[in-house]
Amino acid sequence: MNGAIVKTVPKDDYYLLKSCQAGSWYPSIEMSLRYTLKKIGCNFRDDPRQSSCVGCANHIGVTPMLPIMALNARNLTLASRSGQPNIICNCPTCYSNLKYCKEVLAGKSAMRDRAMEAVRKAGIEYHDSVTISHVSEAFLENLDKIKAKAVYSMEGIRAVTHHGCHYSKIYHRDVMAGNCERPMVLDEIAKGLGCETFDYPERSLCCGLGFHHIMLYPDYTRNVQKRKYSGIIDADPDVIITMCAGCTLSLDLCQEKIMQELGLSMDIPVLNISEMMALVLGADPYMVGGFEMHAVPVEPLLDKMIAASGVR
Amino acid sequence: MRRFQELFGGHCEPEEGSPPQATGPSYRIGADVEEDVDFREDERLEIESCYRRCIQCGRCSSSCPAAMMYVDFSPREIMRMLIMNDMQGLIQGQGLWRCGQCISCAARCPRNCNPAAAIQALRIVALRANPSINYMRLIESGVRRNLGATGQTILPMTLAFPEDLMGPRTKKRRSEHNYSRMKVGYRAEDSRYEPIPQEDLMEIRALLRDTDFL
Repeated sequence: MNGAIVKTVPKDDYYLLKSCQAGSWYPSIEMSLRYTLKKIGCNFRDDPRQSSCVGCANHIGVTPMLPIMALNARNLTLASRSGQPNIICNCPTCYSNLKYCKEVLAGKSAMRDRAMEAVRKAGIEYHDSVTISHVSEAFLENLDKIKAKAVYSMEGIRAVTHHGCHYSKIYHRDVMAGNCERPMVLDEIAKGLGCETFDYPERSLCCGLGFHHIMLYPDYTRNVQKRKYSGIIDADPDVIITMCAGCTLSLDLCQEKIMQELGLSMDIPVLNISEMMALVLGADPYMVGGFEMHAVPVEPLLDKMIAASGVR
Repeated sequence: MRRFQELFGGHCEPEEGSPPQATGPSYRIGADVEEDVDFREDERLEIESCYRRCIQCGRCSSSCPAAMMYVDFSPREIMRMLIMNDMQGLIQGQGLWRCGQCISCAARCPRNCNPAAAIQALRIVALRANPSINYMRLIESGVRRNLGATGQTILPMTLAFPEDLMGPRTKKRRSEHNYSRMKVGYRAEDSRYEPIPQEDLMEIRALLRDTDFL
C-alpha cells in the first residue's frame, strides 16, 4: 500500500475552489496554483462568483449546517455548469466539506430539503455533475507534465510532509496515495521531483491550528507543535511540505517560538505544495512564491535547489 | 482576550448600501435544547456520530491530541454522555470546545463512529444554550459579518494571531504582511484577488437569509 496510487483524479478542466484561508494568510498559495496550472497547460476556471465553503466555521461549531449546505449547493452548481467541472480545492477543509455537502444533497433528509428549498427560491437549478479533488491530487496526476517543465531539480533536498487532517482523516478511504495513517500524496510528488522524503514520529498528528485553538487555547497549539517538531527535527529536513493554508500558517508562524522553547535555533521552511510546484517550475519567488509572506525564510531552500540544478 | 475581541468586534464594516446588518444571534441564549428543531434535524448527531454503536474502547481518546492535554475532555466521554443522553452535561460543559477537529477519532474508530461530527452538531446547540461561552459567540458574529458582507468566512484580519506563540522575527515579518499582499495585487481587507461580483453577493445573502443565518 505504501505510496501506491489508489485513486484516479481528472487530469484537466479544473474549477478552482478558492480557499478563504489561503487568500487571507498566504495569497501566494493561490497565485502559485494559477501559475502551475498555466505552466503545465491545464485548462482551469478561476470563477470569482464562488462563495466560501464555510467549512472552517462548521468545524469551529459556530455556523449551522443548513446555510453551509445551501451555499455549497450554489458552489457545486457553478462548477457543474462552468464547462470545467473538476473541482480542485487548495484547502483540505473545502475538499472534505464539499464532498460531504454533495453527498447530503444527493440523499434524503430534512436538512437537504430545506437547503434545496432555499436554493430553488434563489432561482438556482441545482446541478452536481462534478468531481472533487485536492490540488495536490491534480499535481500528482500531472506529475509527468510538471517534471517535463521543471526548471529546478529537487535532487538532494530532504523533505518531510504534513498532510492536512481534513484531507486524510475525514474521507479516510479516499486518500489518493498511501492511506489515512500514512498518506503519501505529497511524498509521491516530492519524490517524483527528486526529493528525498523522510518519515518522522507524529507524522499524522494535527498541526496545532485547531481553528479557534490558536487564538483561544494557545497551549493546545504549543503542546501539539512541540511533539510534532520534536519528531521533525530528528529527520533534519530542508523543507516541510504542506497541503493546507491553515497547517502552513500554524507550522510557519509558531516555528520560531516553538524551536526556542525546545532549546534549538534552526529554521525549516514551510511550503505549501502549490508554492513548491511554482518554485520548481521557475516562478518568481517573491511575486508568485510569496517568500516575504512566510515567517520562516525560504531563501536557503531555493539556494539549495539552484545549486542542485546548476542553473542561475 | 482583549485583542481577540478588538479583532472580532471591530473589523469588516459592510459596504454602504449593502444589506447585511447582522447584529447578533437570532436565537435566545439559554433556549431549551429539546425544542431546538435544527438540532434534532442535524444528522451529524445520530446518523454520522453513530454513538449508539460505540463500544467505549477508547481508541478515539488515545488518538486525540486534545484528550492528551485536557483533563476535562475526551471523545470517548462525549460518546458516553451521548449514550447516557446527558445533553445538559454536554452542552453546559467546556469540554466540547477542547476538540481541535483533527478527526483522528473517526479515522481510527473500529466501529466507524465519528465523535467529531457529534461535537460539531453539539457546538451549535451549546452556542444557543450555554450562557458561559460568549467568546465563541464573538467568533460566530464575526463569521456572520464576514459571510454577509463578502461571501467569505475568513478575511485577512479575522484571525487574532497568537502573540505568545510568535518569536520576534515572526512578529516583524507578519507585521509586513499587508504590504507584501498588496505588492502582488491582493487587497488588505479581502481574501480574494478578484472580489465576488455584487449580483452574486446578493444571491449568497438571499441563501443565507432563507436558511435563517442572516
